[in-house]
Amino acid sequence: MSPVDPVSRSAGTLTDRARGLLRDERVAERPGWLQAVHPVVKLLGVFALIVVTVTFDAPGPPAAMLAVTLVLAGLSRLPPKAHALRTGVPMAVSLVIVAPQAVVFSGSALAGPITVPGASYVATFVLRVGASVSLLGLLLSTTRFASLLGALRSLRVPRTAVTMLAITYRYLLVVFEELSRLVLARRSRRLRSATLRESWREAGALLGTFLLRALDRGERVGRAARSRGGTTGRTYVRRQAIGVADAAFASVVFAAVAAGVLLT
Amino acid sequence: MHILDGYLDLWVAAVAALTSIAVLAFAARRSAGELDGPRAPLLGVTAAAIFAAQMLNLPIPGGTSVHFVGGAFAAILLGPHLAALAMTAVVAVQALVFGDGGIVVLGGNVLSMAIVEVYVGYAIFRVLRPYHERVAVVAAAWTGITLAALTSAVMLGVSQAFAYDVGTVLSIMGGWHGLLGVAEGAITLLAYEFVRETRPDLVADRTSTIDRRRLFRRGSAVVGGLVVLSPAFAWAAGRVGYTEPLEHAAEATGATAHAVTTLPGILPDYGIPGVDPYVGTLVSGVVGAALVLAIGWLAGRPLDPDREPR
Repeated sequence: MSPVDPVSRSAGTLTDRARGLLRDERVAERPGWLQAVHPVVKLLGVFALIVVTVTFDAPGPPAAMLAVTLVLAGLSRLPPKAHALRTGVPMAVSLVIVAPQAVVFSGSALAGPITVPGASYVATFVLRVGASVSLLGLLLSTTRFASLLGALRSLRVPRTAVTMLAITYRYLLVVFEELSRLVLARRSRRLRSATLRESWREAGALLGTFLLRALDRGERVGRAARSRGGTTGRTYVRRQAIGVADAAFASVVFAAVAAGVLLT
Repeated sequence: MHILDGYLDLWVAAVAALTSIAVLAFAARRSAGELDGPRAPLLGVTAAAIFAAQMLNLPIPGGTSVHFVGGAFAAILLGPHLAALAMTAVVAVQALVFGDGGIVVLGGNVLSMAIVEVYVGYAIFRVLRPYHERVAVVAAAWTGITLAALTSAVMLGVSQAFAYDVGTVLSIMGGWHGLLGVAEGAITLLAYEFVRETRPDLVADRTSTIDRRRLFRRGSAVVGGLVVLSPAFAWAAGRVGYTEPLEHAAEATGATAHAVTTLPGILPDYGIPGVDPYVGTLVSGVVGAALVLAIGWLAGRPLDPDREPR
C-alpha cells in the first residue's frame, strides 16, 4: 500500500472533519461572551454584520471589522490557532485568486506594475472575505448546532427543513465512521500499491457499498422513528432569557452596522 | 465550487436565494407525502452520506486527487425533488457546521450545487437513458457538475465585488470543471453500476420510456415554429445590423476582396435569386430543417432499441 494513496488518505480527511465538528461543539460549551448570547440574537447579528461587511469598498472598514471579530474571538475564548486557520486559509486563497487585479487595474503605480487602485481592490477584497469568514466562524464556534436549529425554528424556517438538517447533522459522525471503516478495511486488504485503474474500481465499489449501507440505515431510522410515534422531529426551540451579554452584543452589532452604513 | 461571503454582490445573493427558495418550495411540494413519512430520516441520512462521500479522495494522473460531488447520483437514486432537498441539506450543513461557503451567499451555493446540478443531471439522465444507460449516467454527472460551475461563474461574473468579467470566470470555471466532470462521470458510473448489480430495485423503478408520438409532435412544433419565425429573425438581424462574425472579420481585414466562390449552393445567403428575401429565408428554413431532420433520422436509426436490442 502506497503511503500517498488518495483513497486511503480519505480516512484522515474524515477524521479531521469529525475532530473539527467535535471541537466546535466543545468550544460552544465553554463560558464566554458570545456563548452567552441568545442564538437568535447571535444569528441575526452575525448575518447583519456580514451583510454590512460585503458592501465595503475600501480596505479600512473590513480591516476594522476583522479586528472586531478577533477581539470577539478572544472574549469568547476561541482556540486562536483554529480560528486563525479557519480565517487565514480562505483569505490566502482569495489573495491568490484576485492578485492579478493588482496589476490589471489602471492607475498610478505603487511598486513596479502594481497600481494603487489595484492594490486597494485586492486588499479590500481579501479583508472583506476574511472578516466575513471570521464572523461566520464566530457564530459556528460559539453556538451548538442544536441551538442554531432552534434559532432557525424561532425565525419560522419550515419544520421539515430544520428536521432534515438535524438528521443530517446527527448522522454525520456515524457515516464518517462507516466510511472510515470501509477505507481502512480496503487499506488492510491491500498487499501492494493500487494502480490507478484498481483505485478507481475499488473506490466505485466502496462508494456504492457505502451509499447502499447509508440508504439501509436511513430506512431503518425511518422505521424506528415511525415505530416511536412519528417522524416530524422535535422542535429544537429552547427558552433562554435575554441578558447583559445579548444587550452588549446587540450594541456592538448596532454600532458596527451604523458605522458601516455611514462609511459606505 | 463553494462561494464565500464577500465574493458576490448582495443583489446577486438575494436573487439566487429567492430563486432557490422558490425551486425548493416546489420540490418540497412535489414530495410532500414522502417528506412527512418515513423518507424524511432516509433523506437526512442520505444527505449525511453524500457529505461523507464527498471526502473520498480519488487519484488522478499527476499525483493529485479529486473528490465525488454526487448531485447527479443523488438525483438518479432519489429522484430530482428529493435529491434537491438532500443536496440542500448537504450544502447548508457544510456552511452552518464547517464554514464551507458563506451564509449570505448560501442561496447561491444551493442554486448551483443542489438545484442546477441535480435537475440538469436528472434531465440528461432521463433523456439519454433509453438510448444508452452508461452514457446517460456519465453525461448526467458531467453536465450536472459543469453547468453547476457555470452557474457559479455567472453569479461571480456579474458581481461587481469580483473584478473578473463573466467571460473570464466562465472560461476558467467551465474549463476546470469540464475536466473535473470527467472524473465525476467516471466515479458516478462505477457507483451506479455497483448499485444496479446489488440493489437493482433502487434504480429500476424510474425507467423512462420515450413517447415517440409525443416527442415527434413536440419536436415538429418547435422546429416548425422556428422555421415560421425565420423571416422575423432575418428582419431583426437587418434592423440591428448583425453580420456573421466570420464575415465581419473578413470584411474588416479586407479578405472579402480575395474571396473565390467555389460552390454557390442551392440557396445562396439563405435566399432564392429573384425572389423576395423574406420568402427566400422562409423557403431556406423549410428546406434546411427538412434536410437536417432527414439526416438526423437516418443517423439515429442504428440507435433505435427496437432494431438493435442492447
